[in-house]
Amino acid sequence: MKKLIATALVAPWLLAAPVVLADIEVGVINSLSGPFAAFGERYQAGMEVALEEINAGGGVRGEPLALSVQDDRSEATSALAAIESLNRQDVPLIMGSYASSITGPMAQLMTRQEIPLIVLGSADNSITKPGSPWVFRAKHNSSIVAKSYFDYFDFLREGDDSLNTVAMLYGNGAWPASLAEEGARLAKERGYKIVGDQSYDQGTSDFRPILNRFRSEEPDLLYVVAYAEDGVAIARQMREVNLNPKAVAIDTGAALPSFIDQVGDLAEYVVTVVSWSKDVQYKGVEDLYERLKAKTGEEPTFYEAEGYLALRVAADALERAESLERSDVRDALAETDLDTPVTHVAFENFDGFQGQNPIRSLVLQIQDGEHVTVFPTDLAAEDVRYPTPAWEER
Amino acid sequence: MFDYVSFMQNLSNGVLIGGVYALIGVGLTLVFGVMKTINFAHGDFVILGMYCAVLLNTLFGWDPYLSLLVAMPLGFLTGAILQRVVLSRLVEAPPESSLLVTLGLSLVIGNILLLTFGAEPKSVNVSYASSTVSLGEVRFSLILLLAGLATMVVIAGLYAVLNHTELGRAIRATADNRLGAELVGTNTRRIEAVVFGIGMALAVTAGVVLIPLLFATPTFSGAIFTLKAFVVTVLGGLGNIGAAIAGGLLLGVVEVMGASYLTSDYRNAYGLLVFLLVLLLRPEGLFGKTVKRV
Amino acid sequence: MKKHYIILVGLVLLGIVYPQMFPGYLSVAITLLLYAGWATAWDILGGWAGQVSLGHASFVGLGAYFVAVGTAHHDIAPWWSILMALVAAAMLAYLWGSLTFKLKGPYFTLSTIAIAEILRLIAINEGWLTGGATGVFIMTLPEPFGLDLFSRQVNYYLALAFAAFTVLIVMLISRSKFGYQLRAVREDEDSAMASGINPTTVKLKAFMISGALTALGGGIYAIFLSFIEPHTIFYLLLSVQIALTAIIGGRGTIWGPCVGALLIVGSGEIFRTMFAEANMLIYGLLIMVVVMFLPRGIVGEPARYLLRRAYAKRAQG
Repeated sequence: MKKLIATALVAPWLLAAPVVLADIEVGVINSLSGPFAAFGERYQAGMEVALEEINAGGGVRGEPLALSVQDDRSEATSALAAIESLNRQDVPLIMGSYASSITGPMAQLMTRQEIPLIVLGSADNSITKPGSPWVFRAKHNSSIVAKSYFDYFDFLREGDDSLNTVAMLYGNGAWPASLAEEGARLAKERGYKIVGDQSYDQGTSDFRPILNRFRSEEPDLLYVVAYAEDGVAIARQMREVNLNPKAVAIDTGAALPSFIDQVGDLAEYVVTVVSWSKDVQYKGVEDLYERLKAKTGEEPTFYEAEGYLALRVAADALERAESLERSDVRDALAETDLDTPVTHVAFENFDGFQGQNPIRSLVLQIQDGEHVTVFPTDLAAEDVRYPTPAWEER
Repeated sequence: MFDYVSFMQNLSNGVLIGGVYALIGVGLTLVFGVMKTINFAHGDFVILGMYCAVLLNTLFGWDPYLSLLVAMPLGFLTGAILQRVVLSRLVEAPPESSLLVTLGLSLVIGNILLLTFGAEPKSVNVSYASSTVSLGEVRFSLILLLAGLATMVVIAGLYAVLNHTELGRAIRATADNRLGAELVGTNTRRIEAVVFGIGMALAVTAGVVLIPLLFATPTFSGAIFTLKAFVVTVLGGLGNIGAAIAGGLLLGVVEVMGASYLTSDYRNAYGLLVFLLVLLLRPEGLFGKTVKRV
Repeated sequence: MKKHYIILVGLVLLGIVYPQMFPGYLSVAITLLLYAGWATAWDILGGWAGQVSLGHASFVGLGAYFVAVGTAHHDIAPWWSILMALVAAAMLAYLWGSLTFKLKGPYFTLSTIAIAEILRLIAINEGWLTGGATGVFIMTLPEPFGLDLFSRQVNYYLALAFAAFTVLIVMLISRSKFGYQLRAVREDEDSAMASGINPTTVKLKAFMISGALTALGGGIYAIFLSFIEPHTIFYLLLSVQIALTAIIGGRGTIWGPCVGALLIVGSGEIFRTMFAEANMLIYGLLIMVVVMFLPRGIVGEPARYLLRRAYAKRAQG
């Protein structure tokens, strides 16, 4: 019986072991099933585009690059098992995962086991603050995103000094909560008055009670952090209750092309912060847009771009590393200075962060049914449209 | 100062949301009343209805309400078959088996949807999605009004079937006393399949009606709907159709009023607290008959 | 009964050498042992006392949060915070049970979901108490006797000790007077009362032991993850998984919950690596198949068959 148990435990590993070993294999832990699969699929597509590009350009260190992908079922314990599994394959580094509840434990374990981690999706501050010498994040975090929104608000205030009050509405997940925390801090620091601060539990997308409360406060700015479906509901219900702020920011939800499809005309004037957009003024961006689009058959988003970015960073470090030993790979990652069509990458230690790329986030505004980069001004494709007209005037 | 308009606004929103909750709950109540089965897949049946509307909309451009013509009969058939193939085998099994098998079923439905439609949330964008009807200064959401109307039609129809048809009599007899119904010649096995079919058709209807309002996600929102349905049915009294409406309205009003005048982060807790209170103080439900329960 | 102790000792010995045999498979083993312990603890209430709870994630969360918040915010060593968590869990179970034990069958089950959901919202919203929605990192832990509590080996032996301890408690209960009282209450509360047993007291005791043991596992779970978030740890699905593990293995049996853990965690891991996106689908199907064809669980069904045969033989003389 005991033998049977042991065999039962080990057999799947033997079966699952790859038959043909590529020359250089990097580990990927991604949410391919479970509640985060929608994001996992997008990251996967982005990584595949980067992989094709890298191998078409001769691979890494003269050999083809391959991905060893493990599903984390959108849960932390499976991700930890996947780390052990990839560790046995001796991968030089691992990329992963989407949620902070998965990426947090991964970062902890990999730091202790001294395996370099390139963060794929999680944007929570806590992953790189205080961080560790083994954890690297090329994409943004809560501080950077919140700062982008308030820099944008400051920019608007330069032209309209009546901008003063802000109302905040956010989900109670880790990302919305941390973005709201940072937002509240910045609002105080920069002299905005918070007239509404409400969080919600995911459920039946009824925001009317909250929006009605806000209406009586007449906020100048509305700062919303919500995922896709809730973002759409909020945009629609704002019109229903006739809430008219001068500027509306909806993080995450409003960044997806489906937001515009679903909300239609009501989406106009809404802004959202992303790490990448197809019209940003970086070299090679049109080409990347075309390839991402060909891969998924849909309008690409910053999710695919971030997947692409993570693998580009990995390949660049592997190319430059003295050997494929993990400590050498880590040293190479720390020295990264890479230009990509997504952003520039250099990992730095600042403001208590470690191994964080101080990426410049972009503020997109929805104009005539398209996401358009409007801020920071030197990367912008169009001018900001401001103020948002009241619903009756549209 | 007390703002009368916004109070009426919130109250009416609560009532309308409550109508949606009632529609989600009524199928669960019926199934429990007759079969004493707690159906954990009920919320996933609702999601199936949502996807049905999404599919018919993308393929043929149908309005969600039109797709009820396909969704309802399909839901009834699927439910009846599921009862025959899966649940009817569990008559002899320990009492929690049906709860467990429906939990498994909920995982299966969610993941089949995930594999066919992908994980991306899907919805149907109707032109009237954010239209409102005004009554004085109070605004009503048009889709919520339509959903409330649908709830009334469906529950009235169900009421008529239960009280004025031969089938309804047999269903009520089975619910009251299974053995007695069998003794007077009712085929209770067939009745149970029909009831589960009706329960699923009602859930699917709720899904279709909700799609202009909410997004369909394959594995996420099923549990939320199931939980709401439980709360509605227990508030009204499990197995009592008419009371499901009252339970739904109460839940909607409690949630919306709590979120409006207390704090919105505990919105779901307000409903659950009232649910617990009712369960402990009046286990037969607010509107149930006072009978001792097994 | 002796047989059960021999099996336990054998399994523990096997467990002790396992890390030497398979040093690269510790995370799966830790998850498996935690689920085995949780399911066994759940079964004291759910199987032996017959009260199906779908709220046990609250106790996992309680234990995990005492340890994580204790070390991260208050500098309390994990062994002290675990002790506090055990007391807190027993108190929570006492309150919870006193409130809801008058409810029967599905009504009790529904009330456990409601209470657990309210506790989840408290854990998310009361940031001053729990660190809030963004979660808690465990960055440093004391090193008793030079042991690194973060190391996979130490996590593994903690989980092994937890699972073995829980099984041992259930063995002791199953042969004690308390164990017979539990079964009497499960089968028929009215007859139990007639023979001088107070069903509420018996169920309360079972809930308190069950909750405290679950919290113990929760503390180890927090160290294992070293980062916890209220959403994933007070999750309804975690409660459901704990209950399913025990039920699939066989409720009210000593080894059922452990076999359930082996099957659920083991198959989960196999499906994860072999079927990618379809893994949860196959998992759901597996649950349906077991419930439909082995309604008393994998261990419960054959055990019942053997028991019936033994009675039949005795009856035949």
